[in-house]
Amino acid sequence: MTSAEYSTGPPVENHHDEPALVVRVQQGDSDAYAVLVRRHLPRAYRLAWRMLRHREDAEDAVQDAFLRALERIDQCDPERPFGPWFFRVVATTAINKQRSSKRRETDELTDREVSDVVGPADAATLSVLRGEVDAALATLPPMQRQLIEMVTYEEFTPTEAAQMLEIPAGTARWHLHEARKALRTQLRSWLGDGGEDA
Amino acid sequence: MRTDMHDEPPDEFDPALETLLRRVDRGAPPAAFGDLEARILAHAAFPLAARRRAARTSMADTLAAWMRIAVPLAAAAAIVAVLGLTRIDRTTVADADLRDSDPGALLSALESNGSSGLAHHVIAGDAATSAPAELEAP
Repeated sequence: MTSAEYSTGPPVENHHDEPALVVRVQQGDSDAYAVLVRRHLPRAYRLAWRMLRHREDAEDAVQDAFLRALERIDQCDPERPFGPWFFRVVATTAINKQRSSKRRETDELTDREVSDVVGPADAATLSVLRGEVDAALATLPPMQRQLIEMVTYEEFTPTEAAQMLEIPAGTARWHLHEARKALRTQLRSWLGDGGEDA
Repeated sequence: MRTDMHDEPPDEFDPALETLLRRVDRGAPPAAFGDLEARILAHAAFPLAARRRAARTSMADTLAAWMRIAVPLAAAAAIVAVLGLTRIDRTTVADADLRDSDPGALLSALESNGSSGLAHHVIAGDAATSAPAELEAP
């Protein structure tokens, strides 16, 4: 299978066949397991990468998460959606990996790679903006940064993100509120009238 | 500050901020999903096979457990049914033989025939009520 066959778009939810697939996996059906892997692999990888910022670590985390999910599939209630349960496993695996592994160089795209994509003038602007956004994100507490990445970039709901990070939903919303407030303050020159075109 | 965490703030979704953040997002670098999927499925093969074995064993165990209970129960039920039918049959035959016969003689016949207690009771009652009538008869 080529990577082109994997979804890179927004998350697809409400798979009505998933309760049956989970039951089949509980009985050891490898075809059903392959369907679940294919369906959730791209988003699981993106989530792991958001948390680890390293391609190989993210791939390892996703592989571990799928195997841990298989080990614990009996704990997955087929009547409830598989996705949120599985992404909690991915997040927990990534958090554990983050704690256990040494700091490694991240896989951010270089400015030269960016200019290849958007052109030199835009690339220069983007480079400045990116520097400021990165600096602003870096000032956030880790929990707030992870919530911003999960909710803003990966389109999880605050409640889903809270479940993945094993914190109450109200606490997650409070962290999001604080994070947005801090980012707005730090990036206000880009957010004002015409600021985005600076 | 701790208290504030539990006061749920309104969802201050800010489209301008979201747009700005997304604009500079580089996203995850491309991954070889095909290879990754193959690796995951290869590692999952053994646990999946173990699950299939466990599911089969569990089904066989359940069936065996049912058989262990059901077979003796069925056998016992069959024996009880056969014995019961035999008894009913004997009692019916004996009761049929007793009709219009001398109760005293039939009682002694039943002693050797192994008929039901009910038959004994009925015949003994008959004998008790019929004896004075016989005495009064000319």
